[in-house]
Amino acid sequence: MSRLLPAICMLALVVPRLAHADKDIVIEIPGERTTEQKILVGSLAGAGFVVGAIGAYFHYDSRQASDDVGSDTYTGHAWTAEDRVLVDQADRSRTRAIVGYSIGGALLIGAIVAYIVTDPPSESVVIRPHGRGSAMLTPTEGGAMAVGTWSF
Amino acid sequence: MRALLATALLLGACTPEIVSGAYLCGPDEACPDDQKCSPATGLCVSPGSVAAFTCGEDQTEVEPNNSAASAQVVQALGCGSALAEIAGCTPAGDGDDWFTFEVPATCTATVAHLRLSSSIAFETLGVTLAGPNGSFEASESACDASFPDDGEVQVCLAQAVTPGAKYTVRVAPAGGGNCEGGCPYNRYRLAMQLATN
Repeated sequence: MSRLLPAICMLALVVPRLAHADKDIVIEIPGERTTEQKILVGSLAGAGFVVGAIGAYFHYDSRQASDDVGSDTYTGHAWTAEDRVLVDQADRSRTRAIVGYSIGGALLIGAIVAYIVTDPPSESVVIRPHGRGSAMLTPTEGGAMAVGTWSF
Repeated sequence: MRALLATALLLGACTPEIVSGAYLCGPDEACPDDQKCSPATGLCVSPGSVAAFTCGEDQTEVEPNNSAASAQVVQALGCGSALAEIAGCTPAGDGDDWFTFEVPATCTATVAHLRLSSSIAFETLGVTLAGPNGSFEASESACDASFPDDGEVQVCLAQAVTPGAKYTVRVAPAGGGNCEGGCPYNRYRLAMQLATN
């Protein structure tokens, strides 16, 4: 009985409020993307990273070749066919890096756009109290249970 | 937009930056795309800095020496002699350069060693050795060690010589590497030495 008394006091405070609530209860249920949409967004993002990584590889290659042949001081070496090859390699890899970065960036932007576009709307569920005085108080072992009825 | 600009700047740094004068001219006056070979210095420079070919002021070759009869005498070639070096030049229109030396009569088992170094950028040169009566003795071959990457090509000649005899050395354009007629000139250094075999 000593444990039941505080519970009854608490219910005495809560139940009148439930019973007199005349505002609707709104519950937001977040939507979920379909499997196809998830695959689309994931594929775009994954492909973007992969193509961007390939672009970074060619950027590195271009950088290496450029560093090998570039100089801001007297080298003491004659300009040879090998140097020409390095310049061509730097230019070629630079072009590939630009293409890689561009396509990779476009794919990542596409992934972001797809993520935004496929964002499913959340669903609102309105719960209306079923009228005044419909609350019930049922004693239980060690406490009590408040029960109300709503329609939605 | 800012990311694209940053990427463009980053990639721009991957274009090789080669300052004027960083490289010696390569074969047939080869240079980086935005530079030209300056024949005066043998360096790849910006197009505005190109200067015409000159033999330079440190030449020890004395013209006229375009025939065996007018060959320039090379002094101080004793037995086991020190290296004698001639700085020569074959400007456009110049013929062969001839030099002559005498092997001291006191030398025994002597070999004449010749090394011709010239710029890899201009017309290739060859060297031949003629005997006392003007007969052909030997022509150049590849040196044991040659470093064309340093802008020079070297050819060597080693020939047993007779004590007391007089020899002539001919340095002449070999016909190659002259930019298809556009760079028919070169500077050279001819090193000569008599050594005991």
